[in-house]
Amino acid sequence: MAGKGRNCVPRALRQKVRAGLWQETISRFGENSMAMVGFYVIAAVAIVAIFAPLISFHDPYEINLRQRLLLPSGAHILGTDAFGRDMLSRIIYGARISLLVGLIPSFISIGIGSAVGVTSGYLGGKIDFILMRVADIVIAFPSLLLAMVIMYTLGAGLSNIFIALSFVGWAEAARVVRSQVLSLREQGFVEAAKAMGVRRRAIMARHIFPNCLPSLVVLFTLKVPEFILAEASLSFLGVGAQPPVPSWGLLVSQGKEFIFSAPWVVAFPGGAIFLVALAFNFVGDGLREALDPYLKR
Amino acid sequence: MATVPVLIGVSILIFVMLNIIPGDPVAVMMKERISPDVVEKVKAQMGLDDPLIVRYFRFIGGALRGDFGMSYKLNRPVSRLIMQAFPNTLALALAAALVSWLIGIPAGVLSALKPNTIIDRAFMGFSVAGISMPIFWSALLMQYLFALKLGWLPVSGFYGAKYLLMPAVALGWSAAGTIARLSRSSLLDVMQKDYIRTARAKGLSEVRVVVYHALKNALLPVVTVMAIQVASFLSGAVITESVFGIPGLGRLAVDAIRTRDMPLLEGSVLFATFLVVMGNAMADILYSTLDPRIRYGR
Amino acid sequence: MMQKLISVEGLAVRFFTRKGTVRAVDGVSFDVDDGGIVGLVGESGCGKSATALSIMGLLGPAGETTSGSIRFKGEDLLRLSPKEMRQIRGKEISMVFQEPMNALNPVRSVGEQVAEPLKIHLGLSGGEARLRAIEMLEEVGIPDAASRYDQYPHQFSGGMGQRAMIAMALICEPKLLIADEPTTALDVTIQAQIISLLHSLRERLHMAVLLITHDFGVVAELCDVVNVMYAGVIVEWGNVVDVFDDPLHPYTRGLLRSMPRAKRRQRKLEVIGGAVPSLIELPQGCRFHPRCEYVTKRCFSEEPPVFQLNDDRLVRCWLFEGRMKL
Ligand SMILES: Nc1ncnc2c1ncn2[C@@H]1O[C@H](COP(=O)(O)OP(=O)(O)OP(=O)(O)O)[C@@H](O)[C@H]1O
Ligand SMILES: [Mg+2]
Repeated sequence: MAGKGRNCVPRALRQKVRAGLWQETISRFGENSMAMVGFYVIAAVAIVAIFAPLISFHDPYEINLRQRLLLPSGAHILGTDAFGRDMLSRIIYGARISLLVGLIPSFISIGIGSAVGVTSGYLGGKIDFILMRVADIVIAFPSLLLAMVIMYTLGAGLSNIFIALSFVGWAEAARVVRSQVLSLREQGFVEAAKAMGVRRRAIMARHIFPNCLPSLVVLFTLKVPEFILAEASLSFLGVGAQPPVPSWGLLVSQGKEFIFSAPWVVAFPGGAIFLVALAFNFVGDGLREALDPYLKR
Repeated sequence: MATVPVLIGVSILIFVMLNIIPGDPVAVMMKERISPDVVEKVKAQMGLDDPLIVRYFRFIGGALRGDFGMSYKLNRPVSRLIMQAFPNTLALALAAALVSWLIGIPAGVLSALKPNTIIDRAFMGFSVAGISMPIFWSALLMQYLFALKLGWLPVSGFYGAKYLLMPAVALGWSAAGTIARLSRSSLLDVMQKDYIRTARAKGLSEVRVVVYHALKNALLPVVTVMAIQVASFLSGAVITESVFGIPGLGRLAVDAIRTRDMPLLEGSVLFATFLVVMGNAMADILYSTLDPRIRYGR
Repeated sequence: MMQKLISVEGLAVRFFTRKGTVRAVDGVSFDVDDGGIVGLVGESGCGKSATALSIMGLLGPAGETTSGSIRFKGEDLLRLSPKEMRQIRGKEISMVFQEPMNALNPVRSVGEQVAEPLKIHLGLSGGEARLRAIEMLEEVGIPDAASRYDQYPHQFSGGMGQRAMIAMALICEPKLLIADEPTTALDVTIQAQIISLLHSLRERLHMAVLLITHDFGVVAELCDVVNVMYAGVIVEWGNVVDVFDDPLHPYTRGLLRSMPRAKRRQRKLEVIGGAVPSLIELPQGCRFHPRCEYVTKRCFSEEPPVFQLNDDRLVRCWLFEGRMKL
């Protein structure tokens, strides 16, 4: 069979092509100035989050009732909140929460989603039918409401947010991966691998999943801001992170009563959410454009 | 259609999630400390001792008749509370949809016709901003500026059209961003199509090429998304309703969580999800009536 | 001699892409006489469509006509304003494309699309345009045209779609029809029908046709004159009969040999070895030399000029050096 011969060469060749793919993508990504700005913002926020204790001058939890709702000044660059806590330090520590809550559920939901999607798309039949109906059900829910219900059941708190968001997010990833797998399954190299007697699981892991990666990378970068916003919303509504944790959504929520007298206690943490979400969206869009030739197959 | 099985699945999922919590609803209902005997008796009365599956069928049987039980806290039928909240949510959803279409479609179309120009960049910047903006934040900032500082609009509450403006913009903007991006990419795609070249080869003006030959094709997929968005406004304007004090469905759900009012939460989430599922089904129907390829079969 | 309807001189088309500049058409000259029918043949990617689109002024954002002239009824189309060009398109010069199913708008009825040029160019009302379009649909052989008018492209077969495309192109009775591979996407039997349809319509409407194809058979059936194109240039020009009987350029010979013939008991189907060169980096010397069986030393370094053999025979190949040089 012609396909068989073709398959013998490509193993090495395909690897090369794939290396080329990422190199090319990175160089195209680099030409996109908005995406690069987004990337630098994320990098800066990540550094700030990692080195929070070194960077912040104040203890984010230190209450000082004599210094309530201070205007931004030299001592408190972004002012203080209703308990006299330093806003900048709280936002810096909050960056840790936002990044974690963006990244971890994205990883988990895309991990679960890929496993489900590859299985479903490759095996087809009853398993596919059942898995996709379950995904339909999860997708049918308004995502914030579903997350709220899960938080109600599990109780407020950071780790439960991870669970809630992962549960909300896996279904979409599963659908994306499944549709990719369906088109990949028909392609020559998969057919060839099958003809050569490669095991099903190996085909899924080595031949099909890697080709889904470009879409998954894009999906990941777009899921992160979505989850950051979702956590902020949950915390804002009081079912997410609990005081005194300096989650950005919670900071806005706690500040909203003082918006007239001290608008900065709302403006700064909300602005931080906006900035990070914007940066991730720019990067996601940039990646999507850079990967465009590999996404449309 | 997959609508019915999905709704069944949704109801099971909600029911199970809300009924496996260890917390004791009777204790929630009765604020005072009461003797365990009384608690047991009330529980038995309410049928809370029955196995989960029995309770599910009781719940779904009631739901099918429009009976979601009594709210623990407000002591009124959940269905009545939902029906009181729904018109407010509907008004907000329609206003927000209008905002998002009026901004989103023209922005997307203009961007696609002038790709990579300043207009395009500006519109797309606003779109990403809309998508990245936490609604509670933009809502609070608007309240600060237009209600507190300038005094043009009421801060919150819901007593007329004036009260709807800020919430509609807050909610509509992020949707407008999605619509603008989608219409842009869809129209860009369509403008590459062979039939656009055919239209030009006939000697049509560029305006006619776009309006008569490109727009309908380009907006078909957008219409579907718009319908789904309206459904999600109906069900999920949780934040907007909370910030602006609009007594709608989303507020009901938030209040239910805050007061741990299980029947109210169960009822409002099921109803909201029902709206979304129906909205998606309608989007499919809408699409197939608009697209002749589906209308007249393949 | 008949009068020239359109005269293309030294036409060059470039596409600007990420990978570099594609010299899709690189100095092409040919004429189409009033009422004449001229073939433009060549392998895929040699610049046939680019030539046609350049004449129509429809190259799109990536393409540009960088030099040359296209004189149509004495006027250079390249110098016309967009508005003047729009008045020519669809009225004086029409085009039929390769794939009818992609070239028709899926969400507008076929009839509306066929009638549209009448409204635009002749100012006909909806009712008049409809009647005329139904007539035209009948003329191109669509049965039950009145009821077919309101159907959508997906309800048409490929062949019927192409008939509708032809009706649309010819409805304003243009002077010139550019048919870009009008039969490539169709079944063989339907191909023959479309070819004979074009033939009879040309007679009735007295229009000229520029027929683009990679199928020499189609050219033989329809055309008076043929231009053989290779990698952006015309390598041979002549009367269809002459070129068939006595192909001069090695590329033309290869093309003819690779064509299956019914008469000569199906010998081994030959193909020209090698691949079409990249139009971004053309080979030095003659563009065909990497694939040519008669290649000489000179072909590697010097691009051959056009040699004229007699009144109506031109060829771009060193083998014919010594004949009259154009
Ligand atoms: N829009 C475009 N952008 C970039 N390059 C293009 C574009 N259109 C055509 N080309 C390139 O120009 C060259 C000539 O293309 P053209 O479409 O004229 O070929 P053709 O002879 O019509 O071939 P076919 O028989 O496949 O239709 C090709 O190399 C093609 O890749
Ligand atoms: Mg072509």
